[in-house]
Amino acid sequence: MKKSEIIVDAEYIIRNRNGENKIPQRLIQMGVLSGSRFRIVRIAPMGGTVEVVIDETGNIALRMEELLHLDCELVAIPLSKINDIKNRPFRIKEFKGGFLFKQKMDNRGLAIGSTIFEAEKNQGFHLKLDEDKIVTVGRGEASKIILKPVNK
Amino acid sequence: MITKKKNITIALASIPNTGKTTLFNQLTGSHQSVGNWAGVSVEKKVGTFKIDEIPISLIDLPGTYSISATSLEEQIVSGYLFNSPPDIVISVLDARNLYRSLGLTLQLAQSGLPIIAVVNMMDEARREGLILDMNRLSEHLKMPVIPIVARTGEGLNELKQTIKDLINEPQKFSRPNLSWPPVMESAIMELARKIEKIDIPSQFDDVFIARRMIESKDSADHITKIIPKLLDVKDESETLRKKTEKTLKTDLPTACARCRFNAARGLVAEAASGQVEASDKTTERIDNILMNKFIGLPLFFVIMFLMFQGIYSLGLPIQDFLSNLFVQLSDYLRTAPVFAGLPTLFKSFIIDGIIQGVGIVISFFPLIVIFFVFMSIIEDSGYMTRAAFLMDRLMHSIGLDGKAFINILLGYGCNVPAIMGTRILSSRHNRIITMLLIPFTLCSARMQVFVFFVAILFSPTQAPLVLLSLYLFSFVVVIIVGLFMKIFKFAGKPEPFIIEMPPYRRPMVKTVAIRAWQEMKGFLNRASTLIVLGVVLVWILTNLPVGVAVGSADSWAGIIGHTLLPIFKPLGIVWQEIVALLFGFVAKEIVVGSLAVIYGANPAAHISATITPLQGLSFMIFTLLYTPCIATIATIRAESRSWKIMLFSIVLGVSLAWIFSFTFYHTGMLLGFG
Repeated sequence: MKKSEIIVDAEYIIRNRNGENKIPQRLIQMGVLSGSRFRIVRIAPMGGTVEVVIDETGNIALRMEELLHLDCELVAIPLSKINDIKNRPFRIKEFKGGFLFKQKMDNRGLAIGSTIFEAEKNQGFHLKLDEDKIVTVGRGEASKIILKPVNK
Repeated sequence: MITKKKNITIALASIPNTGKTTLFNQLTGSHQSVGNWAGVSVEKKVGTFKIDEIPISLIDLPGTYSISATSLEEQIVSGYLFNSPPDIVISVLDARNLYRSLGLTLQLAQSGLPIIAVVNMMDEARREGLILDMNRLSEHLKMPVIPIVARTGEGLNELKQTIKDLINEPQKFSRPNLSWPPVMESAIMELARKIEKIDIPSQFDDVFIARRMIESKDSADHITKIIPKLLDVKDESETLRKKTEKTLKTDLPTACARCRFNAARGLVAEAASGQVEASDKTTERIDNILMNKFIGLPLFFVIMFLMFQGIYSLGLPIQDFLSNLFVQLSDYLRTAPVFAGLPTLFKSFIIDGIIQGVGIVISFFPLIVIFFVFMSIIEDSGYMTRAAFLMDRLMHSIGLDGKAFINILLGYGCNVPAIMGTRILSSRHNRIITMLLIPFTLCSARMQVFVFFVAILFSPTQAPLVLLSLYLFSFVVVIIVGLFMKIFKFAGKPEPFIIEMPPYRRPMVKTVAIRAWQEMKGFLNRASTLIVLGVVLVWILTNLPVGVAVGSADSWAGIIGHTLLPIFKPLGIVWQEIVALLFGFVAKEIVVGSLAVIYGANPAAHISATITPLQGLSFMIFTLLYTPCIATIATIRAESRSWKIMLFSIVLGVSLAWIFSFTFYHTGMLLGFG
């Protein structure tokens, strides 16, 4: 995992492909094995330490350096945390808002499962959807749109 | 299999944060004693209780995730099980998250020891709509499973009944089925056959021992230390492990954990219905405020301020009150008819030696109780781990973790409870380093000395600035010494920082009260002798040889003062001050009083006439850094269980005091402040 990938609210799956990046023994003994999912809850005000929530174990605090050694795959990230999408499309995984928010998004043609091929951050987010349709969402809205990378 | 015998031993084992201590307290009440595990500074709690007149000792094992003997705590648990297998093991599980707890239970179950699984915090699980099938769980684990709520005592009668049944009708425990990769299983069997041949003195069977040996190098090292005969097969276990790891393409600790947790996952799927959120909603809401990016730290400092004020504005006046009581008692005894016929020196020995020593010990009691009441509340509520998270970055830079910040901060009130509180720290490494740093914090007793000197030597406008600089200086020294110990890896390698953030819980009055009581008793047991001995030693130095005036130039202290003068002269410290420093070894509170004894009447006039402000500051720097008091030293010895650490602390304090005073004094002289 790279430092730039440690983003609050992003979700990851731990992969351990017989490589050098081993899961620390402590985590393994706690039941955190390859395939475990975790979400970054917050980064300490002074940095350096990260709180994550793991399905299997609940909330855990660990140092960034420990996290950097993990081999992880991004599975969900709020749109607001992405600067631009170019090479790799994302799909909408979830809306964090209520009914009204979902309807508002639906009116603009954004629904769960919609693929975003390109996105640009410039006073809000300009999303390029299927059929060359461009949709603009505000920064606040973007934080409620959870994306998932599409594997090519 | 349990055989009927008089005294039954039960061990409580669980992963952290399952309410094990609450259960321990509920079962044993105040019948507890606190000691240390052999050779290490990890707390060992043993309690006793009775079930229908059957006496039972309950041992609270440290919370660990496995018995793999990698961390210190794991080694303690594993060592205990192998050295003195208990009659019954109670494995405490967290009802909200069975998966997490089952890893250890399944590992323990491989031992063949009689185990009772206790599923705690059933109330929280019920509240979240989780339904657990205890029968199904029991069927698969092949052990009795008792649902309880340790906080309220729900289910404890059933637990006691189960224990009683196990004692009265011993039964053979079979092991839960776990599926291991065939290569691993055959390697274990091969090793077990080898172990069978060497006939080792252990109640555990060869398969279990083979399993423990093969799992990791740490585990094998640990077990061969306990059962030396196993050294015969150690090489073979290494070879078998490497071979298996090569075939499985993964290391064995990971492979074993995967087997256990796969079984745990399956068990949870079968026995639990209803989805539990990984994180608690209320906790999440509280954390959004307390751990907020912007207000988290300010709130932390507010909480610390309140805690500091709470402990010391309550505790220090009571401490003073008790000290005064002892002064009055001494004054009374000096003229009391009982002592009238006794020689003056003997009278003084009793009053100024023994009684003063005892007085110091007793005067610490209220402070320790109040300190641990606050400490337990912060810890039991779950805020301690949050504080650790918030302050970790800062403390990590000196090789510690965030929790140590609280200990060091509280040292600014009084070093003694702060050092006792290092027990909350997660590793021996952190405990030792923090213990060595706390004596450099400017405690309230040293403050009294400084206020006295500053008032004599500086103008009212300068005085607060001088005091503030001393505080800042103390803080800087803590950081410098911390960095120094980090760079030179003084206490070995720090452990990785991975801590669980438990949900917030309301602290229980009973748990807090028992903790405070235990700590006070512990202080009395472990530190009091050394404190009284230290006070007596200083009494001897200042009152002997027979016939001299106390602390005068002719007393041994005075002679020492004169002898040491060449060492202290470069610091601008005069011999009277050296004697005062000797008194200060007992307690800083008596330094000011001792000056009156040494200088005779009106020490202030003497001091202002004979000492320059620069010399005074140099003396204060020395006072700040050298050994705080005999109680601190005794506590370091009691907590570290090491004379070496205690001596190191004294030497470190005295030498740093000299170096800083020297540098300061001479820089001041060069700048023309002499």
